[in-house]
Amino acid sequence: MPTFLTLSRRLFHPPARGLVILLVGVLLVAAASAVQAQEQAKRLRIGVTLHPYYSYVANIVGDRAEVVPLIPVGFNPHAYEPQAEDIRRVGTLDVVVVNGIGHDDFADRMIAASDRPDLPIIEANAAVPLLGATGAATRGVGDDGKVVNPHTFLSITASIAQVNTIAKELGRLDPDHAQAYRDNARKYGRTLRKLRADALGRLAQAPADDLRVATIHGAYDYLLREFGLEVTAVVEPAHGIEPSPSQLKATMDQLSSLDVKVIFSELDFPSAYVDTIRRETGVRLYPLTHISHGEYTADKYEKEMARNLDTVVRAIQEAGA
Amino acid sequence: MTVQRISPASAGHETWITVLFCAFVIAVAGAYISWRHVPEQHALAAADTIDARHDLTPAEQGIYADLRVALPEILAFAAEEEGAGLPSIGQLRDELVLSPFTDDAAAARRGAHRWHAVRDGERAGYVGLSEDVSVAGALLMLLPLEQGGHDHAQAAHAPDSGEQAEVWVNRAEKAVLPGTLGREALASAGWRRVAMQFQASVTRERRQP
Repeated sequence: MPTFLTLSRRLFHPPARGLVILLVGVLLVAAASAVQAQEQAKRLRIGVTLHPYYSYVANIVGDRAEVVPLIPVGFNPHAYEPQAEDIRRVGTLDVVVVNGIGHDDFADRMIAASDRPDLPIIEANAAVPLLGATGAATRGVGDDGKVVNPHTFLSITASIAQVNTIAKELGRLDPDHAQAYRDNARKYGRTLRKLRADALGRLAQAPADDLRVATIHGAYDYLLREFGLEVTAVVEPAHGIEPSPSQLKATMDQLSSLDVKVIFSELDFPSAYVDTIRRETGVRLYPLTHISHGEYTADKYEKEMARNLDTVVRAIQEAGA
Repeated sequence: MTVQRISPASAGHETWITVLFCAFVIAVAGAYISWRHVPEQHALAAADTIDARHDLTPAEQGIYADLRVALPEILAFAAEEEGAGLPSIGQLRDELVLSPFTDDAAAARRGAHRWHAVRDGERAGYVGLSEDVSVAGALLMLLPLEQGGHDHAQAAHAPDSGEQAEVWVNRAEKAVLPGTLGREALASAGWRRVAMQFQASVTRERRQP
């Protein structure tokens, strides 16, 4: 019977040594592939409803999970009706991150109709102090704060709060990566915070006390509040609906009586009547993006918010701050 | 000659039956509405609390939102700089660049608060005294109990602690802090705790809590 020593000598004999190394190499590659396949199989598939949430989640998870938009590129989330193909895709998800306060009500219908009606939901806004909706959004239900403004994603502060909430909840679902999600969330929060600090740093002084602003769509209250500005009036009768001539006249009279100096219009929904307002009232117009169009990318939110912040800074500077 | 008296066509009985049926429907509907009635969610239980959405001024709402997201950063900083304690106002402003502690255009427009670190032996936090209480009152953020004392190592799970932010507001011209930072002492000194509630949109069919 060969002893351990003689066995070792035989194995490490030159012709056998190559075979052993080859065998070990094959085993290692196979083990690595198995681990990788297991990792792939364990990767969460996270559904998102709106472009900003794609960016939030993509920055939190990196390549540790897959981010899947519920609605395809090119659809307006304000008017989206669930399609059969999209509902089928919902059945393949592990969790859905929702705005949940009025901007993606279609998500509940999609989940209920999917193969997984019990799909977990992450309420991104659970820790965000919400503002009551204003203007057309409150029609029929009163202006008592029951209907909230769902555009929290157009604010840096509210976005950081949502990123933290999403990271915490994803960590509960995927404890192996919880620390990575938390670290990434913090890093992304710093990036967003810097955008706001840079924008405010470009303002030599605070906006003038008499700077009154209006918006075409009631989406920018959270964003403008970060500059200490309040929205005095919202112009459009309903989202994407152009005012009638009499409504337009009433709006222009209202803007004049309220001494509105700046209107933030919609970059994504350009309308001819906005030019009429500018021409007739002399109010300055600045377009902001709602971040709801185009491809879903990880850096979309940063880029478009940087542009929005630049626009607000320019509006304040040109108004004489 | 036979005279037959024929009374005019009338729907007296039918009218009464219809009226009674309508009353019955209204009564049933009313009873059902009363049974399903959910009391106003923002009716706060405690007298020393104030609702963030309905009762804060716009500037206070902005500062409150900033304080809530500043807390996890403050706690994480304290955990990383073990032994250094909580960050000073200078560090919050210059190193962490955390609103609302920064001196910028937004801060100036929101009441130009002057921030100070506070501690009473039990609890610690930051208080911002307003230059213009008509815009925003004084705001006090107290750290969660385990971080407010001396055990900053507990702050390792900081980013999870957002919901523990405790913010108080006082709109008196010269707001003062009591000797201790307990709930009763603060309430007696005119401070009111800010409460935030989350309800999923009323527009959703399948509402989450």
